[in-house]
Amino acid sequence: MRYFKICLLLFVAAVLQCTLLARLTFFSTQIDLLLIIVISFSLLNGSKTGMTIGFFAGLIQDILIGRFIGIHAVSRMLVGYLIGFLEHKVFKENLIVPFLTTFAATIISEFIIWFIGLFLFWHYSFLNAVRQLVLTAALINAILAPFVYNRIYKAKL
Amino acid sequence: MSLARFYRKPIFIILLILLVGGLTLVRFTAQERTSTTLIEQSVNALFSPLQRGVTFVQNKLEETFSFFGRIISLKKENEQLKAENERLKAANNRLRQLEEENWRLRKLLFMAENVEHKMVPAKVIARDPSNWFSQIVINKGRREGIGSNMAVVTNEGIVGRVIEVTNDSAKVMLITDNGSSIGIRSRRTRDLGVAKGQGEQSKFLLLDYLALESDVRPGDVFVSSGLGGVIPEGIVVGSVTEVEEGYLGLTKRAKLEPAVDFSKLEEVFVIIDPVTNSE
Repeated sequence: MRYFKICLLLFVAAVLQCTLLARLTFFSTQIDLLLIIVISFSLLNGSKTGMTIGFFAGLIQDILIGRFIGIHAVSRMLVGYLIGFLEHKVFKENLIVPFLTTFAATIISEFIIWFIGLFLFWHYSFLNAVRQLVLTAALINAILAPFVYNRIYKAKL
Repeated sequence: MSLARFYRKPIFIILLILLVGGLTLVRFTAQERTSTTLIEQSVNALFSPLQRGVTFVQNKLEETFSFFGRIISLKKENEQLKAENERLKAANNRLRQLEEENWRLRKLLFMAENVEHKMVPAKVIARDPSNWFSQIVINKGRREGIGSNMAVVTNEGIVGRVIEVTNDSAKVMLITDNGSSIGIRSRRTRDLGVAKGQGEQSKFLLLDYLALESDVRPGDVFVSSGLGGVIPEGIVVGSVTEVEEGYLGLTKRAKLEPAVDFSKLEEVFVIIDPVTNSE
């Protein structure tokens, strides 16, 4: 039942992310609901859950709308794995935790995508990207993260 | 500690397997593909009706709210439109005369008239939410005759090209995407150049490889040249906002503002007939 609920959550979040949320832009960036969900699961359940959910959340997004299938799967999996190490090191009730970790995780996730992209075709400067988009995206995700985290924490998924 | 290490070991192996698997997938899908896998088709078939549903509801809600928001200004707008209509009627008459004259002259010069393209209308049902790619998904696919590399347009200009097709949906790479480049030509000076997308980080296109002696100025409109063999010629791409010296001073480059407002993209047309150049 737990797996079914998680799958359903990822399913709904993926649809929302490509439709409703993709139209809501804040300073040219969008809310990354799937990443926030991955971070929340990582903090609450550890690396194993974080990386598994991260991989599948990224894979769904890649198949639905991505050009390079696997790029978000890898980035979200690694972020889920890394953030999962904090599971026993932070107070889970403290909502500052998802705020700060999501901020950092967004930057790490974007860095991983940029790094993989370097081997494919593009020539972006990551520092330019950080200045123009990544910091804003990190802040927007971080602001929304405590609400999503709290829902997942209370639902005990 | 040893227990923790024991516990972490299998995770690390799974992580490595997923990492290698994921990166292999990226490498495999980075090449131009003419068909999609069964897994992609199944996932898209599962999600596509939901995306259509959510987008439909969202569009209806936006329409309703914008209608109530604008009801006060509608009367004033109506009067302005009436006046504009009169002005446009006069302009239209003048243009008709010019069109007839143009047609006569073309015939005299033995040039083929502009080809009317066969187009399929489609709705945008999803957008790429990432900060690195500019793509959309439309609700028409192989069943309606859409195939890879077909041009996607609106009445304002070029939107992009189809990069992946399933039976009932297609992924479209926008001209603003980092991987997009189109051959273009100035409407005024006939100078050729290439419009490259710069990704989500800039809404402008980079107009590169302009001849050094070209007389391109801000405000000049560029249309597709048809030279790439993918986008038919004559479709508006955008207008120049800034001109500067190119790499090593051998060429000129410019900033091109796309004619299409990608943030408000709802309906598009896919040109489904093969590219034919009239010149």
